[in-house]
Amino acid sequence: MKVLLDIFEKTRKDLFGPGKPLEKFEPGYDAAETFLFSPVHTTKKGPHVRDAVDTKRYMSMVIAALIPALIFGIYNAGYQAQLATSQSIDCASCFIEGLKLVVPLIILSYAVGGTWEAIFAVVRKHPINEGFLVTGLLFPLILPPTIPLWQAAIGISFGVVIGKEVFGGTGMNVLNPALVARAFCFFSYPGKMSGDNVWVHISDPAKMVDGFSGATPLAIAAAHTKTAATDPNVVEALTAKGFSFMAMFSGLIPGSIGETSTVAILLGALFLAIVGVASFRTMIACVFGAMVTGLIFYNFAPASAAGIYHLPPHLHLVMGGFAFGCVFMATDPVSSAATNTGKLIYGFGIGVLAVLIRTVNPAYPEGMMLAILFMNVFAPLIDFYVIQVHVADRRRKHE
Amino acid sequence: MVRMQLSGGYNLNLAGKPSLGITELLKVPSLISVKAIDLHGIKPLMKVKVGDKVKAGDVLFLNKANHKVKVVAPFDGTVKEVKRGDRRVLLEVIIDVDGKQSESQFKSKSVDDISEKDLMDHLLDTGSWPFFRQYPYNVVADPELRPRDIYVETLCNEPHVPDMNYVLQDQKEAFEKGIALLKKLTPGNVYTGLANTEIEIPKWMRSVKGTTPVYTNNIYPAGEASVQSYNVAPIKKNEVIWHINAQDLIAIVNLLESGKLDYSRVMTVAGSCVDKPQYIKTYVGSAVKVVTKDGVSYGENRYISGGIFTGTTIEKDGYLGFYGHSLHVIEEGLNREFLPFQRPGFEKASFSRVFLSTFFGPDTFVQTSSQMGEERACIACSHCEEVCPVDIKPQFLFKSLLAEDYAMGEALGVKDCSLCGLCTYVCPSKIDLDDIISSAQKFLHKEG
Repeated sequence: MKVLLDIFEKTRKDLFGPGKPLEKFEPGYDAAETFLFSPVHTTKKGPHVRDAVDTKRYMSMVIAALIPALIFGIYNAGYQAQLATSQSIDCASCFIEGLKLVVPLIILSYAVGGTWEAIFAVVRKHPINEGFLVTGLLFPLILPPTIPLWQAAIGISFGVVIGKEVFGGTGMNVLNPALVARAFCFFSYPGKMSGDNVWVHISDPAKMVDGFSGATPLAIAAAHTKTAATDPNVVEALTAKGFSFMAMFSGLIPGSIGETSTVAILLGALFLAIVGVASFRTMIACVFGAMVTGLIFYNFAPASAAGIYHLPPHLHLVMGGFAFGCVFMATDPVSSAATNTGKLIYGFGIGVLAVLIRTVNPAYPEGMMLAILFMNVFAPLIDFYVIQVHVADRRRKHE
Repeated sequence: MVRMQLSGGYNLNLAGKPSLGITELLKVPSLISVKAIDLHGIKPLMKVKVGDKVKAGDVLFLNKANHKVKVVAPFDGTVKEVKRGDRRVLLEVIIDVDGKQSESQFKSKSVDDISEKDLMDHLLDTGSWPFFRQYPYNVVADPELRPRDIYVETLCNEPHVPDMNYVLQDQKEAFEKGIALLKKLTPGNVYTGLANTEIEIPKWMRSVKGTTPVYTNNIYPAGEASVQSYNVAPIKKNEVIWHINAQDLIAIVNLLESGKLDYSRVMTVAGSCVDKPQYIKTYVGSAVKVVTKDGVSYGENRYISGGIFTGTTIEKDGYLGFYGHSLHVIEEGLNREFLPFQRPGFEKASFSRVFLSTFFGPDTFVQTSSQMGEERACIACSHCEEVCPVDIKPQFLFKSLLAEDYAMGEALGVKDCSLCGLCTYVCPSKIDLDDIISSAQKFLHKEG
């Protein structure tokens, strides 16, 4: 590796060093170099030694946690597409079909978002931040597999520039950039981001199986009504369409790429809990909030209300983007509340709002995205009050 | 007796632990330094210049703000060098030692009979005063103030600094006398922090007359006076507390009784680059090359006077500091590792759990002076809050200090910070919180 390191150091000195032709682009070069070799910075005074963890390692843990959801998402995107057009659903062909759908999105997300990141780094003369490694992967995972690439490109541009860079870059952003990007797509191109026709890729409409509906369980539950006593209830209606609890839990259902399998997401959550990167408090509080709200609707909604009111609360956890948002989005430390107590309030708020939006406003079956963005905005306020209490406690101690 | 359960704190298991057994290096040194830069809060007014002959006990410099506070020469000799740094800040005074220390520089006195005033005068005149330090701000104690309490450092658990349970084992008598002296200086309590380290607390330490033992767990920085004070009896408005290292206190007793300056201390030479990490007995301000006589491994090394977290960087041919009773030598972190963050990290020391060393790690870790990453914006991981021994939320504190909102800084506890360095150690964004907080403390101290 010495040879490679020498090449890197020489290139830096000759091309990117002070006064050299490519000096301006040093951040980009630095990102590549520090990806391969640890940086040279040493401490100057006490503490003379430092913890081995850095933000690169920290962010790569989130990437690692996303791998189960990513792999399952690839498989499922292919599986749904193959199933809808009655083609072979053996593992390999599903996977290949899925790769064809998902990989371009991921490459695009990293390329476009990364370019913005690099542009801002060069203009602001600061190093490229590794936070984008996570955003760049989160974004494709919360998109429907059929989204046109150009829309995704505009979305990620908006997410990185308006969601993050205008606030000063990673660490300064108020909102979760990946969710900002998705919200942008959601409101700009609703036809490609919502409805029943975007979740499954149909390669050839002529081959579509009879009676195929690409509707997600949430859409079905929202549309369901029980007018007569003999009508099936919402759970039966969902099961009839193939959306039993276990089906939704394991995740071979239509939906955004990474969000369908609660099992895969739980694996990621377990990993995050073991390495201690994402806040478990937020996750627990979020689930608790959703359960409480779900229970209230379940018990007190009038019989004439839409089926989604009558969902047993635990079903909310496995439907739509709840699990994914709860584990990977709500726990983003920068846009979440930063205090421990704050995290509980923040997570609880997300859970409550997600179920509330889903249930009460059928136009937005994907309540999770809006709930998290909404609580992102409130996070500083929550922290402010938690800090006020903390400050008062301290003052009392010294009086 | 008080029990203190510390929330926060962290024990870092570093390689290069000193082995027990004290090697005596008490030959009168040829050169000795008085580290003025270590004496926070003293604005030096020089009384000697290069070439002057000094006797042990002669004043080298005074505190400009209060001439009563003096710093004296530990041995007879000639002033060899007055080292100054940026903006002519006095760094150290180096004395070319004659090879002897004249007998009885001061009148000897009895511990029991000495009055408070005589004791104060004695401490000030003999240059013993700077061994007393004061919180808030950890500056040299102000002789015009009376401390509410005095904390004796009988527990030092920064990695590899002398284990006081070991050092103090046979010092019962002198220590008890020292406590009797301290009782004259404060109307309040004299606290001693006690915890079983690898060595049990000496039995007699549990019941020294006049002390209030603070029993705690052996976790860094439970031994720090300000940490104990925060948890046991927080400093109120207009109050100060003093603290003194137990060895310094014993030296003061020896001086009082014999009239002879005692600058010898048990110290440690430790760190992964030291060939034979050990306990030594030598003088405050000794040259590095004297204490490393058993050799250090060759390479670019970092020499640290004091602990790994709180010590100061010194030169290879420099001198030990005024307070830190240890010398650490570790490797400078100049080595560039291939694929640094993609590795499983079996050998990487980390407070977080993102490396496999958490589960399959070695008992001790070798750490270099590498920053282990580049500085980034705070990502609110709250590791700093988890390790803070005085319940500060450093991730909020440093932001208000950077914005120069000192009122908020004080509300968030900037004065309670003991600068233990743990928050800076664990920060994945490599933010130098320690530096930000200590600058703010200096500013607040200056502005009153």
